[in-house]
Amino acid sequence: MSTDPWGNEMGAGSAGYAGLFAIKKSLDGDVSTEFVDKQQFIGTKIYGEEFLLSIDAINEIIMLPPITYVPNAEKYIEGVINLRGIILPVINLRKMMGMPRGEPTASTRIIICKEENLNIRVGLLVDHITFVVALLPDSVDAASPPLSASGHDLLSGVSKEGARIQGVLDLVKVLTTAGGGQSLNTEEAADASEAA
Amino acid sequence: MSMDALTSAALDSLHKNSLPKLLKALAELHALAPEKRLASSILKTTISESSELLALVLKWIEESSNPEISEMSDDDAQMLRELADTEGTSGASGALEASSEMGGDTDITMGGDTDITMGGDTDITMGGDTDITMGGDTDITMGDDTSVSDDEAMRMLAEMDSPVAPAPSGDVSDDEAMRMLAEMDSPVAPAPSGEVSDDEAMRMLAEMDAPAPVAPVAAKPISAKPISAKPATAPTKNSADDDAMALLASLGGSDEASAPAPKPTKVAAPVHAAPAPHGSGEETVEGPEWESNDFASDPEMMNDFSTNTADIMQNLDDQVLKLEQNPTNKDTIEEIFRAAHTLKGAAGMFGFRAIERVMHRMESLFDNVRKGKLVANADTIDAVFQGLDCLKKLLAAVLAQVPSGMKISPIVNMLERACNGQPSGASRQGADAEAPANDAAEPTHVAAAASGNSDDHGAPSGGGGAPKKKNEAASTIRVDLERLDALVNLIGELVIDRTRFVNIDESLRSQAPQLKLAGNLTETLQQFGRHMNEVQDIIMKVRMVPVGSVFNKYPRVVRDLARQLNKKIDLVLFGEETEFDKTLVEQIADPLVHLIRNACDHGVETPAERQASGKSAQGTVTLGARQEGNHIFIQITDDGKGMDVNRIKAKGIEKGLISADQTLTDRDIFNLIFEPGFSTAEKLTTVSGRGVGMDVVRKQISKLKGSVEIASAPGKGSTITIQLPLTLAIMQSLLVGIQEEVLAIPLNAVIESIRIKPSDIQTVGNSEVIKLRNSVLPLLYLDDVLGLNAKQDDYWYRHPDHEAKASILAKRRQKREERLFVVVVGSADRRYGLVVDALLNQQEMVIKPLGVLMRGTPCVAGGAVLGSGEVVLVLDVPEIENHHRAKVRKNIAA
Repeated sequence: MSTDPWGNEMGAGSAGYAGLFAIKKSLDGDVSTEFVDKQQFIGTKIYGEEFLLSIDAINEIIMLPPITYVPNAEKYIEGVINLRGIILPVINLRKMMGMPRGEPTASTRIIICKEENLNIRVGLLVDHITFVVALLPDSVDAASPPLSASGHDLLSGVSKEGARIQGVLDLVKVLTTAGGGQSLNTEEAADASEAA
Repeated sequence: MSMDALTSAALDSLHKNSLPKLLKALAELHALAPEKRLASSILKTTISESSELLALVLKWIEESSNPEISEMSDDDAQMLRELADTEGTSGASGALEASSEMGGDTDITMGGDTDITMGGDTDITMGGDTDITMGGDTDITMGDDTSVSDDEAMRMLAEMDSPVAPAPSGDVSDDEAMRMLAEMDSPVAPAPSGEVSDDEAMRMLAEMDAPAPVAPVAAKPISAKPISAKPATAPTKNSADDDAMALLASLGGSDEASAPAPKPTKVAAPVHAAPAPHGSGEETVEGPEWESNDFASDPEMMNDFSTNTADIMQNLDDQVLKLEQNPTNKDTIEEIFRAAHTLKGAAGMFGFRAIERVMHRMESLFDNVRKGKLVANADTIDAVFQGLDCLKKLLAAVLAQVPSGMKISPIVNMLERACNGQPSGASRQGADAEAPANDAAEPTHVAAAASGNSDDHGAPSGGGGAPKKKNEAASTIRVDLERLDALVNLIGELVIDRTRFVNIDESLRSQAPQLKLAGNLTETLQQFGRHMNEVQDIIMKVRMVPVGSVFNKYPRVVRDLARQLNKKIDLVLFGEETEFDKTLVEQIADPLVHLIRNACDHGVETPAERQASGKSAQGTVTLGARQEGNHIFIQITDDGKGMDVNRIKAKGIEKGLISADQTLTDRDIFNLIFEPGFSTAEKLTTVSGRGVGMDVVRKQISKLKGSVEIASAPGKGSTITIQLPLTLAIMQSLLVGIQEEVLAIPLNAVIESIRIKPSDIQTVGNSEVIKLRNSVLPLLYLDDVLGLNAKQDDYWYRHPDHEAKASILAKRRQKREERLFVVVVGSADRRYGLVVDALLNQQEMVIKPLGVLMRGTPCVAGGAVLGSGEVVLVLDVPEIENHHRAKVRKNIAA
């Protein structure tokens, strides 16, 4: 069971937002009955490098608003923004990947994500949004993340679709890193206690 | 005298006509079903016993008509009654068995409609249980009350006849018995037990007669059987007057109309002779509505009871509604049953007999539903709701501490019928539906009469009390807290919107002063602002509850502790009526328990110690609350041994919290108590001494944006003062500019704002201070504390619009050479100054959390959205000082 960006549960077989079917056609036009779930990703550029981020966790993409600086915050957190009355932290992915300092440009965007299990809503600062791509599961290679590429510890795998190789960002890993090594369980517990 | 004559005539006729007829009928029955010999013989014995008793009673009446004898024969009468009753009851139980057996017979002869009601399956239960309980209980009851006056006895007897009325003593067993009876399925069962109301008997008669007029012979003996028990007690009720007869006649008449049985009136008449006084409205005795016991007189327990029952009643209402929609839902039924059972148990514990009784019927009804014996149709639900309404009135009466004077018997009967009615076949549905419908109208009448007529039984107050309570209840509603919070939040947003409007208005006026419309806007905005203020005031009050709701728990805590610790401690409460935010009230409860336990355990000494030091043996712990401006102060004071500064200091040094050469004020030392793991207790007790608690207390209180202070004098006691904001949702804040940031300081932490010249600043050691009106005020530079200088490195994505604002602030900063703004913050006796670049504005804001990832951020309490849509950080003032200290300590160490 997967969930779409609005938290609705989608059956594995339903033609949902994230699950596209690749219908394999043979040359003589016969439509085969074999369906394969495709996953959709958003392509982003951070310091010229392309990364993919699963569309499942993405709520929306916004232009750069004024970010309020928070002194003494975790070091990858750029600050907080106001998203229609909700205050969200923004994670600076450049900083997190050890890339050089960037400046805001016309194409700078914040991807608003929500990690359902951790119940964390966060904005990710990226330089550029490129495209939406649908990939077959077997075109994402989870086994061979690059060993020394910048931010490799934030990746859950690499896509080998087409000519280019792109890292697939893992939101949970990003959040764990941003949380300053706090174990996710304690965060969850703390969150639950706050909610209570 | 005429009354006596009447009674005696009735008895005579009973003795001479009815009983022989009964015997004859029995003989016929015997002939019909010879195999039921045992039952018949019991019946026969019972009848002859009854006959003897009647003779005795008749004789007594003759005697009692002679005033001299009647005067002195109280004891005799009592004995007689006792005898009569015991006999009557045991006879009745015999009869019960017998009649049930006969029910089996009736099955055969009549067939069809009455089968199920009278069915033989339940015989065994009835025979066994009722026999024992009824016989035994009544015996005891009567025995206990041998010495009561005539009136008492009469009342008691009246109660015996009413199904609801408890005997003044032996209530529980009585009720038990009733319960057993109720659990039996057959509606016939209660009748012969001599406890069922006559309406009940009447109805049964009607039921038996109506669908099966072919078997009047069988029907009559059965219904006549209870008579044998009842008349035995009847003579003692001298109030069987003409009214009763009239009532009987009318009842008989209606019976005739609905069931043209051969001789219904005659059969019915004796049945009604006994209960008539009860139904006539002159006698209101239904037994005590409640009994006083330890639980009921404890206000705290009562409070718990009332809150719990309110919830349960609400739950019951909801669930019953659900049940109506979906009568077979197992979960709903289970839920209802549990709720009913809980409420019954609680009412029983508190001695609220009336509630317990009604609830008990409900419970058995739901039990039947649960076991699938009964399907909850609309009638059942109606009955249940009427029962619930009755319960609500009774509960209101309980809360008002005034008996409602309500009659619950109609309700109980109705519920009982609802409970039992259903096992009948589909063909009886019509009759069944009719009966509850009539009853449905009845209880309201009775209830109205009870509260309106002011009966002679403590009802004047009850009659006034119950409706009043009801009005009060009507003027309050329970609102889901979540919904209320949503409303509060929305209003908070509206307040911000207003601020935004005001900003727009200001710039409109400055940019286009010639526009007349701008003036209109200003006017409208002012009005809007006034309304907004009102709305805000009201919504803030909505969330306010008196702190007493928490305080009332503590006398019990202290009492228990005192007993456990072998101390004498008195808890004095004041300011319970002080109101503050519900969330605060709830969340302060646990820290307060800690503090009170500490005061009892560590503070107050043992009586011996106290006397040795010249104090009274009884220690006093005072817990009070008061409001000062936008703050609530809660104070816990004990007159115990106080805290030993040196011991705390030594412990602090031992634990490495402070160094030996550090100079600390007493206040600093007391604050060590709040450090995790700190305890000076030499031995652990179950109460305290583990060093957890005080740090939790402080954490909890600072989470509520409050602070805690300790003052103590050795030998005299300690005072702990908790300061809390009045409400959490909307906060007045002071916006300050520092470097290029705008930050908000909660106004409740701000004491004053001053402007100083750099030359005013003096240095003491490493720290800068100024002299402010005869006191020394330490200064902290806000940008240093927060580490704003790191921003250049940390902050990359500067919004283009931000530049303009930053430059304005930067300009102000350049003026630092000429003047400085100092915001004096902290608590009254411990202040410090925060040096900022500019004082910008004072604004109301809704403080919001920054999210999970920002949890660890120091000095920041949250964020708030400004009118411009930008986020400002709200400073956590108490933490600023701590953070600074930690930083300084680190620097010294490094």
